Amino acid sequence: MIGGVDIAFTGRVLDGDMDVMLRIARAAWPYAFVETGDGSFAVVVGETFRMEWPTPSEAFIYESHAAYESWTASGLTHANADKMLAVTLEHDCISFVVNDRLGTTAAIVGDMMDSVRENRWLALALALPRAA
Amino acid sequence: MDERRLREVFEQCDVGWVFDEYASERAHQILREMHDVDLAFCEKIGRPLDPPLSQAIPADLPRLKPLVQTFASPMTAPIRAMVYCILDGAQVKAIRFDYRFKARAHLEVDVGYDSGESATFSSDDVYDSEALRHFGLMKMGKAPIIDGYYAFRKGD
Repeated sequence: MIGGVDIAFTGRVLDGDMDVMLRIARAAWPYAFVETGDGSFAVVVGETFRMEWPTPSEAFIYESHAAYESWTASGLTHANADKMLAVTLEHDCISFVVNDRLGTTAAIVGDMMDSVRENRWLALALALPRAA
Repeated sequence: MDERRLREVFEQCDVGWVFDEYASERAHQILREMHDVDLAFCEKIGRPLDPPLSQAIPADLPRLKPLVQTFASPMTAPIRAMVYCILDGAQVKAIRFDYRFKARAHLEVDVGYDSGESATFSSDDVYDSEALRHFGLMKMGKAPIIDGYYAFRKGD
């Protein structure tokens, strides 16, 4: 049980969206630790750029390895509540779970959504012609 | 990678038109250019690219699609090596671009891995400035972040 607040970011999900969000996460939390939704992988954020993130997929992004260990051992606590955010990629929506709407995780998600929006625009604006 | 597989790879990356003319010559040229990227990576990062690019690309095509697209344009080996580093998880640390009409187009990109490895890749070829169109533009609060390197999409 992670609790928190759900934030939905609708729109067709593009290949680069997860990469953009992970790079924002690393900028915010240089020692971020990322766990896949099924728990099969848990790696430092730098390793995640070598992974595929198909739709649908899910990830938990922790502030650090210590935060990951805290969540794994104790679940949600007052101390670790704002040190993890959840991201779910669907075909037409990215969903987030953050601690609350005013905390660190909400601010990071805000930056993620703004940056994804900008890079989707760039991707569409610079698309190759259909005939190519 | 043989010529047939190379063509498949480029088609899957939306740049199959590269082989519309002189296909065999283009294939050999591209394989040479991939080797040049191996050398540029080793020179700058200080370790060999393992596996070499011609093996890494077909094994991990979705991730390396933006790099494959660089072989459809006249990009130089150091800038392609920079692209590889970013797709491999390196962070863009700094970009310097200096342009003077008919005189100069200089691009320098500093990248760094979480491991501490870092390198500066540079070029004076204006066509390498294409890289500027592929970087991800992001913000953290009001602070600018340029990171990531993204493929051209195929039009819908």
